[in-house]
Formats: sequence, structure tokens, C-alpha cells
Amino acid sequence: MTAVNDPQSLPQPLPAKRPRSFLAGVLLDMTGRWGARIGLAWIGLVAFMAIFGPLLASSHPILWKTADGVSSPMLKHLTAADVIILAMTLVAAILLCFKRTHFGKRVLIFLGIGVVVSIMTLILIKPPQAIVYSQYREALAADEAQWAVMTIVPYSPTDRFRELEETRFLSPSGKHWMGTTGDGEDLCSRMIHACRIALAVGFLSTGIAICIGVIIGGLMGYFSGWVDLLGMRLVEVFSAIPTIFLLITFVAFYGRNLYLMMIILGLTGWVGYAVFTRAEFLKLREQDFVQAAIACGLPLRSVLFKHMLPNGVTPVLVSASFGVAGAILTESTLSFLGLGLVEEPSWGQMLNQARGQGGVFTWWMAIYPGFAIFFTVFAYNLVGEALRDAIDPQLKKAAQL
Amino acid sequence: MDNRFGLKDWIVCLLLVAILITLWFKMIQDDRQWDKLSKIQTTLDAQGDELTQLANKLASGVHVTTTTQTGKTNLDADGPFARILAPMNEPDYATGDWVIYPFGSTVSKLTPLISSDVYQRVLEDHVMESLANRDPMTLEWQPMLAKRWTISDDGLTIVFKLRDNVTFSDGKPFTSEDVVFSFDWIMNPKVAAPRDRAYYDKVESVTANGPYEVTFKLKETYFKGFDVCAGITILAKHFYGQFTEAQFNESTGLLFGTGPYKLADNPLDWKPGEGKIELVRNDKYWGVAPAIDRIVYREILDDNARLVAFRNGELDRYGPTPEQYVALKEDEQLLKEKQLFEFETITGGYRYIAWNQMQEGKPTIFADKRVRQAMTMLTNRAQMSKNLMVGLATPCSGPFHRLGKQANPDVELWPYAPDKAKALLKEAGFEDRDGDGVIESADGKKFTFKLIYPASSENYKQMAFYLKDAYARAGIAMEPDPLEWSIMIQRIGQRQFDAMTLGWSGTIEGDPNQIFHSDQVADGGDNYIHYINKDLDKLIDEARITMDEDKRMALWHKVHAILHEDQPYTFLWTTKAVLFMDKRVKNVLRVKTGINDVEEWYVPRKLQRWGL
Repeated sequence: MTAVNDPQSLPQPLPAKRPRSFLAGVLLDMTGRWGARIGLAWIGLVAFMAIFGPLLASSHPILWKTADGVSSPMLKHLTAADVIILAMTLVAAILLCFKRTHFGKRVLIFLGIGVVVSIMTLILIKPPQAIVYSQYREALAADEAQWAVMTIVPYSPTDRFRELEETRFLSPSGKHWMGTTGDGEDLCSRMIHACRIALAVGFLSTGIAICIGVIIGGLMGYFSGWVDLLGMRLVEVFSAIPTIFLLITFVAFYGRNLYLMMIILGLTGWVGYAVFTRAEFLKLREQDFVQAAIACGLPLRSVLFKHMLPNGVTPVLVSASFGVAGAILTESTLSFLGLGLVEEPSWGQMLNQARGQGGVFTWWMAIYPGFAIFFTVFAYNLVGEALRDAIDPQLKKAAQL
Repeated sequence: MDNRFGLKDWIVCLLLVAILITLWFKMIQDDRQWDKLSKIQTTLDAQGDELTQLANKLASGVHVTTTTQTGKTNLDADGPFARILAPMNEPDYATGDWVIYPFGSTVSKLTPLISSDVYQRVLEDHVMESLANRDPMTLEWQPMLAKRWTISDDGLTIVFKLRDNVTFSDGKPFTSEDVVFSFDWIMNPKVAAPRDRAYYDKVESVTANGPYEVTFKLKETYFKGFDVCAGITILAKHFYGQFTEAQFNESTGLLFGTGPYKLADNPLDWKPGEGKIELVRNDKYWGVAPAIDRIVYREILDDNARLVAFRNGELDRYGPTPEQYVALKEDEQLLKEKQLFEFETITGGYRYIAWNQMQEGKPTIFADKRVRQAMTMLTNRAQMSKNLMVGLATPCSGPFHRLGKQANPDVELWPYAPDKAKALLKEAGFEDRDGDGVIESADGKKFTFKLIYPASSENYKQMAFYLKDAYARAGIAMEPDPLEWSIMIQRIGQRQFDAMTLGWSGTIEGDPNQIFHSDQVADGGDNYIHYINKDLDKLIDEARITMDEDKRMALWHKVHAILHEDQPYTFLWTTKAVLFMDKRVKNVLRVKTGINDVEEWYVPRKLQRWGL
């Protein structure tokens, strides 16, 4: 057979399409797996709730008509964070439509708009701080308002129904789909609003950890020698810090602060990423393309982050998805111990209330937040596993056999 | 191979059977021995009981031919130990067993004088004694470490004759030197005891005349003069004298005295955060030894965990949260094993919200009387006590308990009147000027503040949320800020808070000097809200030196009226105490101040559970 030598019989590369990068290939491979699809679907649902929470569950009517005319209390009560998240989601959706533009450029545009929008909203948006949720219901009952269009779940997460005699620990009903909490708040609304905290804690703390881990690990792997020696000692020091105890101490001394919690989780959680990146870079720096890049006289920044990082980042991505799950679990643990947020909803905190105050077990307070935590952590683990399988060529071959 | 059952096999089989039979016999023999042993044990127990009863009879003053020099025992039946001796005649009286209490917070300090929480006080009452104490039923003073006393006609000189047989828990004798040392130590400005000094500032000197007599001289008449002198915390000179003031102020576990119990650990080694504190019976106790071997205080921070421990029988005494009370009251199964006590006493104290009037040298929003009045009128105390306290609470108008004589019957509670409150706030210059729902002062300062409360309590949390929603109706943004108990105490000491809520426990006749007199603002005193009213100071000073009860009560009524007008606190309510006791503990009785002391309790031998 001579067909092999015949150039005509070889498949010709399509000139119009750029070759797919390794990362894109991995992502495509991953989304083909069922576990990943289920996981991504759940995370997507949680992300949807997190972004559109204020539009899904709020005591403030979307629109209502009073003596002053038609107005939208809900828009008036959106916080700066709400506005930023909604606006940036819109920007991201628009940018995704411009497929022609280079991806990196689009990310830059997104970040630029993000900074501008954030500064603008933080200056301009000043929602009312002292909120009386029952005013709308009272106005409607007293015929001061003609009509009101409510959100799907017409209660805010901290609406405690003070105009009513007793709303604590009501079991699920048509009015309160998931029942009420020990302070008389609607559980369904709290579940929706807690999504944002779960996602934020997961992404921000893991984001910080990856940034630190990749930089330190990259430097360690690239330079090796005494930089590596020092770095590894640093890694050893940090891996000996008991995160939960550190967090408990910080909460006791500096009060409850979600951002502080995320930062501490990030600052203590980078060790794993650093070790992964170091191993990858140790392997990569001997390879020809890196040697070529160095020989061309490219600056260190370019060699490290433009040439080596894209080839060594995939194992970090895998462990990141497990890291997100871990961070969510840590936040839930702290909230369960009563060290999380005070008023704002969090799944762990709701689970804590399930134990009831009279020693009565309130099942709805256990099942819904419990399953939310479980499914979210499970979903991230599914995605992480699918990613790992997609990257590992041995596993891929085994799967094909 | 020949597979026959030979002689050798026979022998092996026989041997095996013989071993089995011997084992069997051995087991029967053990059984018999066991029976015998338990019989001996029961007879021994019975004899032990008889012996203790006999010993108690002897102690309670039955005349026996004795060669002691004094001829008369000091443990006479009508003395301070009458109430401990009383149950000893019961047929099932026995010594032994432990009593286990829960604490809702971690106790950070056991050292007397410098500790500021009620938990330490509970322990101190068992470990330390004073010259005299009040009879729990009549509330009259009865001799304790002092045999008797004389008070001069002008009431300014009190001479105590001390007992000569009292020893500290290490066996060293107690003398007048210790009393003098205690007073000097409290008055030493380097010792961080501003709370006690607030009471002893009226005492001029304490002098010892010989080893068993002390003279207290007062500067001027003081209605609590005798209470203060007789109730002085006795610090052992040989023990506390070995520390410098700084060491004492920073110490944690220096709890040591003459009392019937002592700390199980060495007081020098005690460290907070062990999860429990144990008191054991003082073997060298000079008086009548109590029946209970050991008192264990378990620190269980979580309301629910505490309830579970109680349900499992791990706690003998339990004060439920209001919500738990509702559920437990109906629990037939539980009530079979536990005894329920419900009572309201003057010493029960009250709950309040304190408004800090000065922070970092600048007056706060709450420095204006009208603002404080408005805050009170925004608080629907009747509804809160009904919903949050399940009706166990009664709203109060001042620091004096309505059951006592000090309360002014003419003072009426501030009503729940949000509209009036809003009008008052407007008068004080607070209006919503920029339309964001929060009211501001004329110079644009927003009416927002943080309320600190103990983090471990679900009840305080619910209260804080309730207040937040109530204040929001007047355009006030309040942020609940739960703090760890030790951190909260620290913040209060440093005056770093806007507003806080807690409770004060009460005494039979309270002296508002400690909390509301302007002298107590400085040096970490208990006037931590920087409340200064010169008229009130004068009234308090006058009432304190008035010995005539009717005149003094008239003055207290005026004090009550001023506090009501000024509202330095929003006085919330007094509560009924609810207490469950394990039924195996006997002789638990109601007394004027609540429930009698552990020293009077006992557990019949058959029902004993711990420390066997």
C-alpha cells in the first residue's frame, strides 16, 4: 500500500478554522460526560439564583400603584452588589455574542467595564437601610395601594412578618413553600438568597488561592534550586495551619465578616495549587518550546505566564473545582457553628436552626439547606472528576478501550 | 493409617471434660462469692448510713460525755448549719454523689473581685465564706465566720468576734489578719476591683484586736454598712498575699477560701476553657460537711446541646430557655424524673438595653435624653415578653424589683408609642433629610448603631432581630452584633459599644450607686454608659447614708422616678425563674431567694449515680 505516502489522501487541515487549544479540547471533552453535565446544570441553577435572587424573592413589589403613582420599590431597594452583579451579567452576555473579537480582548473589555460599573454603583446606589417589609402588605390591606406585582416568592430573606402574631417554625404550606425559620422568615426566600454567598465564598476564596498558588508554584518550578527550597518550606508552614480554628479565632476577635473569611480561606488554601504548578513547571522547563522562548530572549513574565502556564494550568483547574466545594463546606461548617453571618442567609446557618429551640426537630429546616449543600458540593466534585478524566491521556485511552 | 479411637484419645477426652467441669464449678463458686460480696456491701452501706447519722447526731449537739475543752460544740442546731443538719435525720440520708450544673458560657476567670460575671459568683459562694450570711428563709443575718458582733449606737463601729476553729481548705487557721488583709486588698487601687470598691468606699478602716476580733469603722452611716462589712470576701493572707497586684489582676483561677467546697484543681494551675469546672468537698472544712461529694459545672454553650444533655440525665439542674420551657412543661415523661420550680424573686434581676452616651471622648446619639426616651417608646415590651419570653417576663420601669419596697409604685411604664417616639426624635433634630429611609441629625449624622449581645444565646438573638425591625419603623438602622462572652465583657470594660443588652442580677436591697452614680464612670466602674446626673448622684448619696428605712425608701422612690425620666437604660423586664431539678436529689426547697444551697441537698444511696 502506498496510499500513506500520497499527500492527496491525507486529510487537509481546514484553513478557515484555527486549531483547537488543549484547554478548549479538554473542556469540550468534559462537557460530553454525563457527570459533568449534571454537575454543571446544578451549578448553573445555583448561579442563576445567585444572580437573579433579588428579582426572584423580595418583599418589595416589582411594581405597585399608590397615591403617588406607579413605582417600583424593588428597583429602589436593589443594593450596590445586586446592581453590579446584574449589570455585569448583562455585559458578559453581550460580549459572548461578539464571537469575532479575540477572547482575551473580550475578557479585558469585561474587566474594564466591571471596574467602571462598580465604582459608579458604589457611588450612586444608596438603597434605604432601615427597611420595614410589612409596609407593603399593610398598605395593600388598608387600600392605600391599588395593586402590586410581586416576585415569584414574595418575601425577602430577612422579612420577619412583624405585623403578624406568630410566624416562627411554620411547616411548608401554599404560602410558605419551604416553611419558615426560627425567626419567622420565609425559608424559600432565604434558600435563594443563600446561593450568592455559597458561590461567592467558593469562587473568591479559590480564586485568591489559585493566584497565590500559581505564582509561587510557578516561580518554584521554574527557578528550582534555593527558590524551590524556600518555597517548599513555606508550603510546609502553610499546610500546617488549621484553617477552621484560625477562622474561629478571627471571628471571635474581629467579628463576623464574610470577606475576611474568604480572604483567610484563600490565604491558607493555596498550598495544593502551588505544589501542582511547581511539578508541572519542573517538567515543562526542560521542554524545547520553553528553551526556545528563553533563547529568543523573551522576558520572564512572558515565558512563565504566556508559554508555560497555559500548558501547566490544567491540573490546577481540576483541584480548583474540588477547592470550591471545600470552601463552600467550610463556610457551611462555620455558619453551622454559629460563627457565620448574623442576619443574611447561609445554608449552614439554616441547617443549624433545624435543631429547633424547644428541642423540636424541624424537618424542612434540615432537608432543604442540607440537600443544597450536598448537591452543590457533589456537583463541583462531579465537574472536577470529569475534568481530571478529560485531561489524563491514560484514562482516556482506557476509557476508549 | 489406623484411625481407631485409642487409649490416648480417651485420656485426652477425659482431661478436656475434667477441665470443663472444673471451669463450671469455678463459675458457680464465683457466683456464690459475688452474692456474698454484695451482701457484705449492702450491710456495710447500711452501717455507713447509720454511722453518718450517728455522727450527725453527735454534731448536732446531743450531749455525749466528751473531754473537749470548750465543752460546747459550735455546731449548735440553731446556728448557720441548722438547715444542713435538718435532712440528716431523714431515713434515706446519705453522703456521696455529684450534682452537675450547666453553664451557658465559658468562665474565663475564677479569681474573686476581678471577675465580672455571675458564673464566677456561683462558684465563689461555695468556696469562700464571709463573716456572716443571711438566713435564706428569714433573710436575717446569722453568724458564719464571726461568732457574734456588736454595733455601736451611731452605727459607725462594728466589732466582730471571730470563731477560733476556722481553717482554710489547706488547713491553715483563719484569723483577724485575713479580714484586715481582705479589706486592704480590695481598697488597694492597683487591684482591678472597682465594683467592690464602690461599696467599701464608705468603710474607713478595719483593724484587728487580737487574733479573733476585728473592728470595722465606717466614715459615715451607710444603709448597707453592716451588709458590706459582714459580707466581705475573705481572702487568705497566706495565699493571696504571695501575689503582686499585677499577678492578681491577670490571674485566672485563684479561688481559695474557708468554704465547704474547694476547687478540684490546684488554684494556681487552673486554666479556662476546659469545658467543665469541678468543686470537691473540702475535707478540712471546719463546719458541717455537706452531703454532696462534688459539684460539676459543665460549660455547654449551645442551647440545644444543653437540653440534650439534660434529657439524657447528664445534668441535674437545668434552667431552660423560654421556648424550651414551653415544650418541656408538657413533657409527661420528663416530669416523672424531674421536679419543676417556678418562682419570681427580688434577686432575679432585670434585663435592659444600655445606651452608651460617650465614646472616645465624644457624646453619642444617645447622650440626648429625648432620644433614649424615644428608643424606649419604640420597644413593645409587652409583646416581646409575650412572644419571646412566653409570658415568663413582666415589663419593668426601673432597676428596682416591683416586689421590693424600693420600687416607686407611682412610676408608670413608658408606653409603646411609635408616633410619640418619632415626634420626640424630630424634636431632637432627627429627620429623614435625604429620603433614604434613615433619619439624620441636622449635621447629616445618620441614626445607625450596633447592638452587642452574647452570641451563644438564641433568645438574645431573637430579641435583637425584634428590636431591629421595631427601630426600622422609626427610620433607625440597627445592626445586631453578637459577640463571644469574654470579648463582650472586654468591650464593655473598654466602653467600645453603641448599645448593648444584658441582665443585672439583683440583691435584696439594691444600691444603684454601683451602676448609675457618676463616680462609677471612671476606672472601669459599672457606669459604663457614661450616665451623669448630678441630682441623681445627690439622691443616691443621701439615700446611702440614711439609716431610717421609711425615709430611705422615699429617696429610692425619687431615684426610681429620675431613672425612669432619664432612661439611661431601656429597662425591659424582670423574669420568672424556671428550674428543673433531678428528682433523685432530695431536700431541694424553695427559699426566699430562690432555691436552697447545694450544701443542704443529699442523694439517697440507692439513687446515687456519679463518682461510685
